[in-house]
Amino acid sequence: MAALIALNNIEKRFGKNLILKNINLEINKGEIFGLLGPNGAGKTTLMRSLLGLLKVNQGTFSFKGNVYQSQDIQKHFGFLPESFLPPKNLNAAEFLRILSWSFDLKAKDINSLFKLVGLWEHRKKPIRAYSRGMIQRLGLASCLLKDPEVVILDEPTLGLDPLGQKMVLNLLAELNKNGKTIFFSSHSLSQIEGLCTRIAIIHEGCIVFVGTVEELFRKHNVSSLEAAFLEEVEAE
Amino acid sequence: MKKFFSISFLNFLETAKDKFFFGIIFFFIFYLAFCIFLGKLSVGHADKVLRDAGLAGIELSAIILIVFSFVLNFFREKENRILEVYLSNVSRSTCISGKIAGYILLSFFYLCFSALGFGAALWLYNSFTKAVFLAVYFIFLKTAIIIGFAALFSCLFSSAVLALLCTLFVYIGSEMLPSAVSIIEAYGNNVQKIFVKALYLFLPNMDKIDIKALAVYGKFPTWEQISWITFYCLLYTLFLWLINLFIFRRKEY
Repeated sequence: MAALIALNNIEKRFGKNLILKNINLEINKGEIFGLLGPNGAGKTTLMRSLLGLLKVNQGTFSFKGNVYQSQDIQKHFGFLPESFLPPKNLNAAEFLRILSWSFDLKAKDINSLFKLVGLWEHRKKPIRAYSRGMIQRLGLASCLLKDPEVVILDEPTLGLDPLGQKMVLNLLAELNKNGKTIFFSSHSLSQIEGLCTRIAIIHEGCIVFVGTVEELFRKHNVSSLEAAFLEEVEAE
Repeated sequence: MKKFFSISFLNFLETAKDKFFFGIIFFFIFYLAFCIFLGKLSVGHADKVLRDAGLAGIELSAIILIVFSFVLNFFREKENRILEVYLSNVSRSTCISGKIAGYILLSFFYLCFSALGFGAALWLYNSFTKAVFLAVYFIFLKTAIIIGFAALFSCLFSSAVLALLCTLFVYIGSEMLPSAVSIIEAYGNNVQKIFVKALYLFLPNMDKIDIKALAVYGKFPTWEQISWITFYCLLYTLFLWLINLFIFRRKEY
């Protein structure tokens, strides 16, 4: 199966520091792909590079076999950054409605998005009154406005309580059922284990493992993701 | 074009609903009351003092509003990662153009409000002249240029304080420069003369845009003057917009 997104020999430097080292990765259509790594491993830099927010020093990104341009990102990729806080003086309905002008969306589509993320009753509340979990779900709704093929999420459950985490993860599973390809980063191992089709482990800017969780268990002959992750990272 | 309107309206609405915007409106209302009081103290010149102080207040509050709200919101958007969400939906050129347009709209909205309030106060005290509305139009042109500078320094620097200070210095500098030019012409050496002259050519000539002194006496500039000033301001704003596009497209956010 041809990869939906391919990262070929990606290198990114900040000054003299090499943050991403020769990254090669393929994400297939319909997958939930998890990017695991300790703090400072390069997860966010990789995602921001993938979206063209950072310029890479070497390598190419391709979408459906073609090197992609910024127009492809705007059309096919939805993005929710880490610790996203939407404009606090607006209410959720205003924020999504105005943002949707870019995508020719009808009011009923926005309403169905509010229902999908469970914010229908709260859509008229000012965003400043939202909890962290509600903001995260609003962020998800905003990245689904253009009905993207790929949903990219940077630490989508960061700072959420267990209930909020469960809601977001259920939502990701539901989106995947509806045909979306999901690429998300996390350092929460338990979330990755139950949800992802495949995972990649990034450590000090290098991809040290790509495969299924079961393959990682077999490689290190362990039965918990935590033990496998630690062995993989400490082996480097 | 829809993406451009989306970004500009998001920026406009976010700032127009902010406490800071309401704070500026309250400041202006109190200032207007103070101007009326000042007018009453100046026996024989009440209408001139009222017009002069009122127009100065409108300009000052509009500059404070747009400079502080543009710079602080720009850095807040960067910190809260809103900019990343916008940039995954729209091109960099659309994003910065939309932001600038949003604040020009905000300035227009605020100046309309303050001009109506000020006009009503002048009418109540029998000091009304249509020239004050024209003076407010020229204040609007000034704010458009200053928005361009606020965007430029926000794109260039990674510190909000530095961007704020530089924008305010450009405004104050370009207001003060004509006096500096005349002082240096009289007492300065050649190097100083060239330096100040170059600065005067590069910075916006706010003294040429300002017609407050005419409006205070109820006088109007000629149509030719109005057209040239409008053309100069549009050209300067366009120039700043192009520099902003150039820088914003090369920045990593």
